[in-house]
Amino acid sequence: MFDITRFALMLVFTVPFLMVILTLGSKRVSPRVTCLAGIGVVMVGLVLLGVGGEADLSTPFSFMAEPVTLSISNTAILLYLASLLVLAGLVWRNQEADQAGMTTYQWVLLNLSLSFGFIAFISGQFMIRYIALDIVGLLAALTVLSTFSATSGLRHFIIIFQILRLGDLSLLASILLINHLTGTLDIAEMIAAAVDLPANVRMWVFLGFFLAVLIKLAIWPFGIWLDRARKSAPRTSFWVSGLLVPALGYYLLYRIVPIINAAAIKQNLTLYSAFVLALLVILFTALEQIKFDRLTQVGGVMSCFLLAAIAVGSGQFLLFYLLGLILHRGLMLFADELSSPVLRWVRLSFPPLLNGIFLAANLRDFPVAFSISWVIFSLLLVGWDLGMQRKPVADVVLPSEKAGRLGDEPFGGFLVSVARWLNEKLEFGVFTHGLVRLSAFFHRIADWMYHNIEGGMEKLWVWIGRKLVALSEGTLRKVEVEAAQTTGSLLDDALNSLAIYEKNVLRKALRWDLAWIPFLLVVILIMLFVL
Amino acid sequence: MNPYQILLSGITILPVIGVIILLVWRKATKTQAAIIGIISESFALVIPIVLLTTLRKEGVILFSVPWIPNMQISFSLELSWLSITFLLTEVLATLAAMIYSLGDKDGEKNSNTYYALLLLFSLGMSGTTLADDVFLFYIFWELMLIASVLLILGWGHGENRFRVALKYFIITHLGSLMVLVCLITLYVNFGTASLTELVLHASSLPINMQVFLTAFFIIGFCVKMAIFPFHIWLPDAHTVAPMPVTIILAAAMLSMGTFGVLRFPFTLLAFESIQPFAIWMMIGGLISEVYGALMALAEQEIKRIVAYSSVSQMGYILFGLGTLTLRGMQGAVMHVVYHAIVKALLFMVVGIIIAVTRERDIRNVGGLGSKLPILTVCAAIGVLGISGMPPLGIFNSEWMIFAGGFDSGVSIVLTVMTLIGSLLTLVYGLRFFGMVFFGVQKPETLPEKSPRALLVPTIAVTVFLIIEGLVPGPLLEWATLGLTGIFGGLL
Repeated sequence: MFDITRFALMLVFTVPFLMVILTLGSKRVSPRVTCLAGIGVVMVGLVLLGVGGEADLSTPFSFMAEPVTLSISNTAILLYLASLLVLAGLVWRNQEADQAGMTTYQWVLLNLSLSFGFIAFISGQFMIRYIALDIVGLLAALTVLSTFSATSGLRHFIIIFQILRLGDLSLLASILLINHLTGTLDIAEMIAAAVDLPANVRMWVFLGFFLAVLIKLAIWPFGIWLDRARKSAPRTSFWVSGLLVPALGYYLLYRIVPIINAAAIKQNLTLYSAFVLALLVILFTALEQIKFDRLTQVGGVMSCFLLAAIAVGSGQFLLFYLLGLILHRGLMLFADELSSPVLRWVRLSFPPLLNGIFLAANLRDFPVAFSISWVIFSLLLVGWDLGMQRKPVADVVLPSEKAGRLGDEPFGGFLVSVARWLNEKLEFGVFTHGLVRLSAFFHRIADWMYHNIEGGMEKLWVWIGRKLVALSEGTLRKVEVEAAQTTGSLLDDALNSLAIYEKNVLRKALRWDLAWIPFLLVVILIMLFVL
Repeated sequence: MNPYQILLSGITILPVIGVIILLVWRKATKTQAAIIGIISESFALVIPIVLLTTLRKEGVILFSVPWIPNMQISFSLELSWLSITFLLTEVLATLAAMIYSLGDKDGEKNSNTYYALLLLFSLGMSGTTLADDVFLFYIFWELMLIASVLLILGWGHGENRFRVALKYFIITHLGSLMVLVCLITLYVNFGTASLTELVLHASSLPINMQVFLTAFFIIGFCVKMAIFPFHIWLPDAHTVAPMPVTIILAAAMLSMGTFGVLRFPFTLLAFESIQPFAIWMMIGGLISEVYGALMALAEQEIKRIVAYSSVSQMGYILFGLGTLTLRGMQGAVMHVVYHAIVKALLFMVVGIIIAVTRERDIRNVGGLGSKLPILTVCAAIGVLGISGMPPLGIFNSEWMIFAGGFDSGVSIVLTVMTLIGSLLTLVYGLRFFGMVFFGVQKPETLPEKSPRALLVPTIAVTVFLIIEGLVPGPLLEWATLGLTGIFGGLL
């Protein structure tokens, strides 16, 4: 019997691979057209999956003795569909601009990310989902590489990949911790069981997930990877970093809501403080006119709203908020390129609108103080975004050059001082120069260890060797040579004495008159033996 | 004695015939000598594969003939699931190195002796994995060392090869002596050299004696595994040795230490005598992992970078063993296999880089990506592989090791540190890859293509690495079956 769900699954997973083959193999068909067609088919497949309904499916495959299962959920399908919709628009719209930037290699990466992104959304087994997430991270990092000669792309690739991998490793730590206590890799079972974990283990699990989410959503200070991807990747393939990875982060966060809700108060505080800190710092850094990237920074702030909402108890309509966040990111991707003032205003009004609707839907559930904060921060966000929209985008300015400019800021006074301090100490001191310093420090440690410990061991080895040689020589001298000399001289003396004796003996004539004595002794011996 | 038992003896006898032919046929060219070597070594690959079905039925295949009957010493070989995993890894690595050597310039003088020694080197390792008699084990163990030292002495690079060979010999021999002390102690106490018999009795020794034996065994084998701080022989030996020997050293010989730990203290002695060392093994593994990675990050000599990465990777294995959990040990055994494949690949890549550029300092190499695209892909897969990037093999073994760390219940922090420390592998891996393949081309003039004879085995190993990663099931099964005898089946 025809199984529409399995057919749709095959379609969504395999079509991107066919697109890769077509992109590499056919020179007649434009990669852009191939990609568009593929996205269309994948979207149809997703709709068919949705029609088939939510289901947990088993597969004939297993990974490391654990069955590979799929968990078809409407949330995952909707989030992925929304992401694909943005991609379709980007591929459609950016044809002229991207002809120069999008190479065959970039198209291949984009197509591959569709398959692995899909697996990351629907896998029911945590390890398979982790693998897919890791591969999507690699693909996102690879999009910034274009030529072998340009080392700047390589530097960006290294930073993006390392940060994303750090997030993935922390996710892995959480997965393994839950798995250790539950003995399963099934996501639903793991999350259900994680709620009842001992408090200390739950803390570690939470921290692992939290770090992974912060990195995937590019929330300050982990947003630098997205900033780098933005600088180096062509706009269309930037979709992998700018939208797919955050969308996967949103979904991950959505799945672990029960863990967060069951977490202790300090974990909630972590979320709150992350929310407040991220929001404040991004606002301050924006005032400083450090290279303002709307997608990274506004996207990051909106993700902080999401974290705060989940921390307070997630509330209703979380899925719609997630969809709104994805569409907002898509809108920012488009609005940067299109000069339409209408679109700019839509982009500007989208976050407060989304926040407003979400708040209205959850007004009964959210505490009053939280609701008021939500409104204030939303207004602050609008003001900030509006302010940044009016200002020309400037490149990174060194703190020393900035003193004059800051004086002209309308806020002035204390706020500027705080912002300047934060900028100098935190952004430049810690996160910009700090990373460089950390890297240099790391290299220095490695160098020091190499020259002192490793070299020291070499010296120790040489020292031991020399001592051993000296000891051997000493032993040789004392025991072997000197003893040999002594023995030799003793032997010589003995030989000399013997020679002298022999000479003396031989000089004497034989006493035949005493020959009877030995003869008598022999006779006595024989007699003794016989008797 | 059934035909399978006789066939088992062929793993050690047939390479010896190859050695004799090579030593007799002094006029053999390098290619002829290599082919004889490859054919002889292939028997060591084919025989275990043929014996797989029997092994599945019987669980273990034994071959035993008396050797010194008065002393209860016999020529006994045992093929088990544990030994077959290590045996095939070693034989495959040797075969790959021998095939690679066809395109390599090393071993052109006295080719017959060179390949004879390579065969003896491999025979030492095969014998080590198969020996069921402690004295036979030690003889093969030392044969492995002597053959490799002679290879470094005779065909090594640079003026200091004598010094390096001596250093390698003395340090690893010190480890071997510690193992020998344990073997003699066991023999003296039970009057038998048979491992099969010792398994039944060794745990009855007083616990203090067992603790002492465990300590000596573990330190002795850690020297062979090149665990920090016993690793000091490794970077020099790997750098000076001819490339095929380096491949065998890194891919195969290091794993013998792991085998030793599993075969001796973990199989013979009581769990209680090993438990006190568990945490130290985990800490030692973590230090080795981080230290090796840092050294690889600081190093400029291209071969030494990959050599230091072995120190780091062996750290994971020791950590996995130290967890004393099934998953940790499964991970450790799998890591041995995956590491062998990745390390063979990386050294092959390094060999081609050196052959093409004639440079060993990474600062003098660059921009090879556009010139050597196939090599670049192989290197990228190798670097991603060693960094534990899924779906390449090391990911499978690493997460099993980390899971074992959590299962051990020792300390979450220790396991998390090991897990996050694995990021360092990515850091030095990407540094190596970036410096060699990106940027301005260095040196300016390069040959048009990479040497095909070197590239073909490199591609083959790359493909093998991908397949091994995608289909980890059989290896996991072997590792699981191999570990059933550990701690008397306690796990």
